[in-house]
Amino acid sequence: MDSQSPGLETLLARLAASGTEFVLVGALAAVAQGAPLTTFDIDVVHRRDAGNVDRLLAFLASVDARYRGRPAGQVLRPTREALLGTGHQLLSTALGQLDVLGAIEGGREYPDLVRESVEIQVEGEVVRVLSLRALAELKRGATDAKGRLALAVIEATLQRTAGG
Amino acid sequence: MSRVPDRAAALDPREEPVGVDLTLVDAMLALTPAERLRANDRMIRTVEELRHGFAVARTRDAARPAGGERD
Repeated sequence: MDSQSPGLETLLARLAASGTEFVLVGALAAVAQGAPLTTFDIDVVHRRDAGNVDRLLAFLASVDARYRGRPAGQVLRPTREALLGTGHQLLSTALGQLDVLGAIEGGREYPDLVRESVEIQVEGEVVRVLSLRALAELKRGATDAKGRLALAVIEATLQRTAGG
Repeated sequence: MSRVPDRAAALDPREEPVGVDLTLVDAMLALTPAERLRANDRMIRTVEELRHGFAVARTRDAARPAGGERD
């Protein structure tokens, strides 16, 4: 993302507008619910049925998605087979970084996560976001300093909200 | 400014998480979800502008002859 690009908000809204079913997880999910964190990418867990994966693949092509960290000149794009699996696709797009996750900690997949999600509005689109409480549960297993700090921030945010 | 925890709260990390600026939490909670995402985007741009600025400065400094004038 450069200083003139639309940014992660727009990337998220356009993904929602594509009709792809997904749940926003990770740090941006916490940010959307009020946690003062900063993140450079979007993490989503998508429904892994054929129709949804086709919609996701078409969206990824529209934003020039490719795997990050490849040697210069080597462009590798996500495939249908990869998106049908439980692996993590760490992508860069024309609008910012997007991590597309088939499953996350504890093998949790879209049907598990959508039950613990809340809806937010972004640029007129409805986005399902993993709840702060569920995000805190995921982070409780973190052993690294960054994960522990994120957990402290999420728990503080939970405490400051009515449901905390 | 962070709220200074009183002694009782400081003894219980569940009440006052260490290292978390509650003023910042309250400021974020006052925004809409979309505004929070925009705030994150602004932070990303700031970091990228700083990275660019430092890279330009390093290049400029490397090109400057030894013993040249300071700016």
